[in-house]
Amino acid sequence: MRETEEIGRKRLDRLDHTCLRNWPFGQDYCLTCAMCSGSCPVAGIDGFDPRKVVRMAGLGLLEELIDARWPWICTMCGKCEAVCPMDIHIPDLIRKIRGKRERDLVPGILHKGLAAALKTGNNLGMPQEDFIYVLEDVASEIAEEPGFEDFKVPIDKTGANLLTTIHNKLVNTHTEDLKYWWKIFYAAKEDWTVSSINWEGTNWGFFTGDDEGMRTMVGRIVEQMERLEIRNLMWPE
Amino acid sequence: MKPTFCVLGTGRAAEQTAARLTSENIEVIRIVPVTDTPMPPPPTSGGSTDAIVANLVQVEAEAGRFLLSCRFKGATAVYESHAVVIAEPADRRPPWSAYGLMPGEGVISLSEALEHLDRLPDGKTVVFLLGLAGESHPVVTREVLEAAKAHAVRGRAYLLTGNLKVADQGLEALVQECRTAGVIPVKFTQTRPIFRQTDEGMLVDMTDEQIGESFSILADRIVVDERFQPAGTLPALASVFRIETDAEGFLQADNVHRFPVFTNRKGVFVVGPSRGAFQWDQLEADIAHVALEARRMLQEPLPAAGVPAAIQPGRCVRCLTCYRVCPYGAIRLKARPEVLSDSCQRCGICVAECPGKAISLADVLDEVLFERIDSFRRMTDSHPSPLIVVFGCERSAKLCRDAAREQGLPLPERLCFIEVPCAGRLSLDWILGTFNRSADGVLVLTCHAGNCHSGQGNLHARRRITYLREMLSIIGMNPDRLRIKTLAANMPVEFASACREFEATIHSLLLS
Repeated sequence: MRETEEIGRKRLDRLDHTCLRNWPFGQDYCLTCAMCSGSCPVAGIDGFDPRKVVRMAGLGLLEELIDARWPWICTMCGKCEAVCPMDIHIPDLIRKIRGKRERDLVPGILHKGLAAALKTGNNLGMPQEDFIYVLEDVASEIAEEPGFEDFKVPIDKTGANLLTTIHNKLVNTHTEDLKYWWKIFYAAKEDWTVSSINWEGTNWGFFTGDDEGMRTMVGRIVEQMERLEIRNLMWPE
Repeated sequence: MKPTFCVLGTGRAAEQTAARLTSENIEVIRIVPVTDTPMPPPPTSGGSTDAIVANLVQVEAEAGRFLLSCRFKGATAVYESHAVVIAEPADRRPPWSAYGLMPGEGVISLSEALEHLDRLPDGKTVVFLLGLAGESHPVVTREVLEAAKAHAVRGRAYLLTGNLKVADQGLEALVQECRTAGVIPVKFTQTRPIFRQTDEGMLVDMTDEQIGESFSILADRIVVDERFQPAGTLPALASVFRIETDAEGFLQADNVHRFPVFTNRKGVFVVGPSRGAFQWDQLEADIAHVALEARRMLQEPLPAAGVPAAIQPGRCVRCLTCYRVCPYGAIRLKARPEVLSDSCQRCGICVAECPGKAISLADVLDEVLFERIDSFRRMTDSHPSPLIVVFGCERSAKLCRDAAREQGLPLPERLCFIEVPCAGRLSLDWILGTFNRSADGVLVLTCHAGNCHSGQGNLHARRRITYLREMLSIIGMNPDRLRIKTLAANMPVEFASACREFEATIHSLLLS
């Protein structure tokens, strides 16, 4: 082995520092102030630190970033971007790196959820009749409460004022949480509805950096709005 | 009268100073100071501003003029001028040893890189070092950044920095331009790069502190930044002119009263890199200040700063204490010491220090002082409050007192305030004499440390007060009857409260 190629010591001058320079996130302008690190709610987990990601991108260490677990620890909350004095778009940078990973190497639940959503319309792969059953079951529970006796869940109502998407956990483990929205709609006499197909509000194409998947998921929501002739969307995600 | 200025120095600073003064219709003598003895100068054709290369061996000051004795091989010439401007360039040195580097083929100084652009060929990997051996100066920072930026478009440019200081016009923008050009910065706070020679060339081993990974750079060139140092001739000039220097040896003490271009010697100015100001725009501003002073001299003779100190020949024993303590170099050694009236700033330090009591300041005589205290005491004798005598420097405490009165701040009822030209004037005799005239307490107010116009007048005062407090203890007086405190000119509130607190202290001492 040559003296200049010791183990654990990369040759900086052999890296292509310019390979990511066309990325529009401003990563080259980092002042190393660490405001991002200080604001990040998950900094420190497995050594994650948004500033490190920015630095590695600046140096052109793309392979290392793609292979790292770090980009998948980020919750994309955007605090780092809000405090960055140089306006570096760190969540966008992270998302770009996620998108560079081979799809079947994307962390399991995200990968499987998106695949299910693209195939069945929701991340759980929940059949339509089960979905409708859960919605109506929750509606009947609301109707048992005083003041909501005639409550019904409007499914596929053409010409309603508002279409609302559903986060898959609300028809799985967190059905109670549906009730808050729905009671508010009822009290406000809102003319609302839920689509019986492609109702998924969670877009894991966004989180996995899969632009194509994200586009498909968004397109499906638009399709439902057109099908039901609805002009307003509530997307509580 | 057309004044003559002697401009001492080599290079751009001296040339610009001489040109500017000449354009102001001032006679200029240019001397390039050297430490060894040069050949005799060619006979000057009258009024020429050609530089004289000379070993300046002696400076004699006389009323309003300096006599500069220059030694040449086998000859001495004396040049006469009304004022002197020292305008030497600073030395620039790369801190080779601090980096553990030796200059050579692949390792060059910043100056060399700037002067010979072919030393940084296209396509090469160049490592620029900046501020890793002490803080970098903004002038050097700018040069390194410019060089790195220029190279980044032609090859690989790495900028290895410590704490990068960008507090100068346009520097922060320049850093960003470097980024855009492709300079890769590596910042070191906890660690330092290590350099080693290998078969392939100079290798820089380092840790990127942000990601905690170790890297190496095989550098075709390492460009070492530089630090400013006083020119080699400055120590000799400081000595021959008796000018205070700062901690690094530049010819201007860190004293606000010397800014921008003054020294402790009246009529001796110092500009740009001779005083530790390296930006070219600062040099221009300095030269303009000197030109302003020169114009003032054209219009009027040097203004007399009150009545200067005078040495009574009969009492002087030629101990040279005055020569030693004078902060303005205003004592001339002839058959006996004489005060140079143009240079004396009447601080009175010599008066207080002279063991033979041979020196007097006409406007602050002992008899006058004691008569003031006596008459104040008589006027206020019926008053029950303690008699407080406050001695204050006319540059700080006096202004505080005036402002305190103006603002109607409460002051002790029997406060006798005596302004002195400098706290350094306060002799042991004065303090003891004041107690002798029934003062209950004596408070001495000086300028803050490092802020004394006379350099160390405040420190002289502090030393004497400390000594006197011990003496008071020994003779059975409470040392708290004598206090010393520092004030700035803009502290009237603190002045008033210090006086009141002191009065309260004295009051309680009288009751106990």
